[in-house]
Amino acid sequence: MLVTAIEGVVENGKIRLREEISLAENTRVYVIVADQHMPAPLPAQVRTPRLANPLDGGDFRKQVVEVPADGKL
Amino acid sequence: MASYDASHYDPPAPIAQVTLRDMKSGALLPNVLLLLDTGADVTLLPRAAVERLGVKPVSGKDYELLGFDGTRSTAQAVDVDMIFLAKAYRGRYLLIDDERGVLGRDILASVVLLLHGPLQEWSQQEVGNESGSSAR
Repeated sequence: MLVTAIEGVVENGKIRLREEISLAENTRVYVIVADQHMPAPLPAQVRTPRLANPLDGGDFRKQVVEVPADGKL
Repeated sequence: MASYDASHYDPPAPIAQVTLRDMKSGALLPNVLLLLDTGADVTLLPRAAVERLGVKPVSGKDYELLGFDGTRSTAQAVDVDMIFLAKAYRGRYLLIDDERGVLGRDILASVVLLLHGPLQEWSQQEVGNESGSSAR
C-alpha cells in the first residue's frame, strides 16, 4: 500500500489541506492528529444529576412503607 | 451515626448504606452504598447491585440526565424497594455504572438529617428530638 502524508489543518470543523492537491472521489484517507489530546470519552458516571426533562420527576415519587421489626414488608 | 467516606472522596462525603428489595420475589440485597447528594434530582443505584438482585430495567423508558457540567447522558430505570432508615421507598430508580450510587432528593426530601462535617458523621434527626437517632 502506497501512503502519502499531506499536512492539513482543521478549520471550522473541516480539514483543509495545506497543499493544493486534488484527490479522486472516494479516495481512502487516514487522519493522524498531531500535538493534540483526543477528547475524553463521555463519563459513564453522572454526579449530581438533574433530569433533563423536569416532567419526568413525577415518575420518581415513592410509596413509603414503614419496615416492621422483623424486616418483612 | 453513620460515617463519612474519606477513602473515596476528598473532602470526605456522607455515605448511606441501604438495602434493595425485589418487589416481586422479595429477595434482599443489603449494604448498597449511596452518596448523599442534595443536588441530585433523583436516586441512582449501582447497576451491578441491581443485576445481582436479578431485577431487569424498565423496557422502553430511558431518562435523559444533565450532569453538573452540562453533559447529557441517558439512564435506564428499575422499579424496586429501597430500604433506608427503617422505611421502604417503593418506586422508580435510575441506574449508574459505578460501585457507589447517589441518594437524591426524591428520597432526601422526606427525611431530616444532620451532617456533622467536622466529626465526619451524619445521623437522622427526629423532628423535635435534639438527640437524633441511629442512622442505617
